[in-house]
Amino acid sequence: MNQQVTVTPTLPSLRATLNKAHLSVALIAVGLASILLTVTALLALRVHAEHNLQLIARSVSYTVEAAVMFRDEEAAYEALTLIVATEEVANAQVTDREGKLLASWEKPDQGLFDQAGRLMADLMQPPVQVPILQGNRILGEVYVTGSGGSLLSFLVSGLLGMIICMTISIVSAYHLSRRMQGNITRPLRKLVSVAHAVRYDRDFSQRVPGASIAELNELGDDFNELLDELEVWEAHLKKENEHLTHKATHDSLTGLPNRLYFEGRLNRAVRDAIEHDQQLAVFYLDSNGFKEINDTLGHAAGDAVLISVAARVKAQLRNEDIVARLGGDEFAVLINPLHDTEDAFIIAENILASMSEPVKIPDGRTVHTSLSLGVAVYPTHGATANVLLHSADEAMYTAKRNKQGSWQLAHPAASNKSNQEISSEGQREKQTSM
Amino acid sequence: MPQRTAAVTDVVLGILSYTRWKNEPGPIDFCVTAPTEYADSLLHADLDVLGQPIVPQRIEWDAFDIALRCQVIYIGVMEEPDFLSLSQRIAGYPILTITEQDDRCSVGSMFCLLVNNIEVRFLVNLDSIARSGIRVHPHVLKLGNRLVEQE
Repeated sequence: MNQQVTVTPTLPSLRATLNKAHLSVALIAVGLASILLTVTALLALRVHAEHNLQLIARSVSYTVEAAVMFRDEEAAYEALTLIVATEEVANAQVTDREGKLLASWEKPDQGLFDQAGRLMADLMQPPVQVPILQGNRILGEVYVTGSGGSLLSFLVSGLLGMIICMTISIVSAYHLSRRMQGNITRPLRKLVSVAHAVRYDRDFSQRVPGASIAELNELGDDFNELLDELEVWEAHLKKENEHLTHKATHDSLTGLPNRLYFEGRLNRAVRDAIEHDQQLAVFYLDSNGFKEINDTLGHAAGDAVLISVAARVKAQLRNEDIVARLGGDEFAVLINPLHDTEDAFIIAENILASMSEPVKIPDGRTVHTSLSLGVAVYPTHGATANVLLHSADEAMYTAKRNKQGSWQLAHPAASNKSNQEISSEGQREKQTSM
Repeated sequence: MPQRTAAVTDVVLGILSYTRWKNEPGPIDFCVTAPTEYADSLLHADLDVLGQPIVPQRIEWDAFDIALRCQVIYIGVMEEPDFLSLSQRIAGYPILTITEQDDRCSVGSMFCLLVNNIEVRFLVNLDSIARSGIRVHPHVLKLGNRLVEQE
């Protein structure tokens, strides 16, 4: 988890990387194309503009010819203006043979655009000088400077077009990279979520869906296969674990849970009972005369008796109740939940009654067995698992002393005693939880 | 005075340079008649118009063969009846007429010089030119006609 948090902000996301790549490609392409086009067109336009200026000058020279011949300044000015005013000319002059100025015209300066245009013309459109000829005789000269208007408007519209194209490219690059990012990140994200589910929830059931990109699809397939293997391995491990756990918490002879398991369950049951304000009962059972059976009839007979007792006790219980073999010939029963104390007594009676049938031992003979049973009820006989078990144990001994094959209810817990028990029991609880 | 003469010479040569006769090319028969103020250098200098030499001669306005001998008649100061008589006799011939008197263009002269201290300009009579069959460059006609319209 920590790793994820520290790694994410320092590395650029896939989306950012794609965006950047697309954007650069688009901008470089559009920029190069636009610049190339603009420059080429500008050069072509320059040639055109120069030619145009030449034509204007020639046409001026033709028109003013007679006026220059007769040195009619007014006529020269009129003729010059007639032509030049509607053309892209910044400045035009007509001089006679001796270089004397006959007429001159200048475009009125109409602001920034004109000035910029003139700057353009200075850079790209050299002024034109054309002689005024009558036959072969030179009468004078026409001098024309371009205003650069068309050059400038072309450049401006070129730049505008470039900006528009760039904007379109940026938008489309963004969209493209979003789409591509979707194609790439969707399967990756799915992969991540599946991996996450495996890592944190141990959920091996999910699989990565197919992707539209070959490499990612392959990655997903491999990942799925890896998951299959992991799932098999995990199941195997789980089984092994369960087996080991069962072995650790159950008695191999009777198949009943052992003391460790029982104490754990009892602890939990008491906690639940405290929380929900419920009752529960603990029985402590001891086989009467088991030692004699073992000694006289052999271990096989003893084992058979134990198995039989276990089965019979279990038969008297509900599914949610537990019977455990605490060791030797001692058993314990947890009745949880207990709705009525009387129920516990009935169950105790039933368990004792179920022992009346003789037990068949391996050599074919039968043997009679009986149980002594102590009953402790939460909260009457103890507030903790250990006190309850202890109380039930004591009650069982009382029963055994009084009458073998009977049951006995525990004494209600004395307050001073229970305190003592609680303190010593607190330590034991720690031990078991460890 | 010599300045004005030179200016007049320039203008006359200019007019000639924009004028075309049918029997071109060849020397231009340039006649001067009546007492003139500015025709000296036109008569005495060795001039040409765009390579066409000018052959000047003085002639009496009432010479009987004037219409055959001249392509251009430069007319000095004349009484109006005399001028009208001359006009009548050369009518129908391809003869360019230039007068020093600026009021003659209203009575049949093709070009009339306007001489002042600064410059020499001219008036033009488009009808006379059109009737004569001589071709004069429109630009020149326009220059002259501009002044006619101003007056």
